[in-house]
Amino acid sequence: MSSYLKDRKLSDYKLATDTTRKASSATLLESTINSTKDGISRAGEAYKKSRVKTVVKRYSLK
Amino acid sequence: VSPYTSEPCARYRQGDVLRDVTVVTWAEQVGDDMLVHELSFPYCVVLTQECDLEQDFDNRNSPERFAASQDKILPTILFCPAYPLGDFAAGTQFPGMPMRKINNSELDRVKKNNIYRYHFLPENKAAQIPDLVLDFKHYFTVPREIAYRDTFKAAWRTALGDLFREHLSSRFAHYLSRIGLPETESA
Repeated sequence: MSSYLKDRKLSDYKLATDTTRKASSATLLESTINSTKDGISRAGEAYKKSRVKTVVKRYSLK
Repeated sequence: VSPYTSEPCARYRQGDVLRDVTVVTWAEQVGDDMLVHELSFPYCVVLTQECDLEQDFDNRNSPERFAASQDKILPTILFCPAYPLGDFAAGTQFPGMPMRKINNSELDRVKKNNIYRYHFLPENKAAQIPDLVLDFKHYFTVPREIAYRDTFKAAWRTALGDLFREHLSSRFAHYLSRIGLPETESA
């Protein structure tokens, strides 16, 4: 998958559904692959409530 | 005795516990769109062999050795998701993938590490780690280059001490190397 993404022109990618991030940038894909959060502490016992999340993001290639 | 150590380390160690790790599991072109599938794990534990992690790190930081041979270089790091005990017991640890509930007597066995598919790690309040259960049927890899980026390493919370790390490693290897036998009939 990585090489497939590399082979594409990253600058061609446009974000179709997630409007909270900037479209058409290589940074976008990098942040998607590495979108870990920082180590900031959570209030109280919130750290016990974390769940697995699944997301499918759609990017327009046009 | 706490199984955890807060001793910092420049490299990943087997038994490192990370929080909030998001990985891309698949990407595919569908028509004019690119679909990118992501999974976010609340907690996960490094399972790559300790000596492999050490050799990888040492060789990458030795220009002479790196130039001579990249035989010890790791392409990926192996992780096992770790689920909060409550979700695990309720069978709700994975959205859209309901699993069986674990009753109290089974849960006691899980917490004593007496069921070989699962590995229990106790709560560490200081590191904000709840009671966790690893399911040895679930694991994933992250490219080594990605895992060592600062943004990824920021997910590190704590690490298992030597003995507890080896216990985890041994149990994982044992589970993966099990042999499924057909049902036997008496002669």
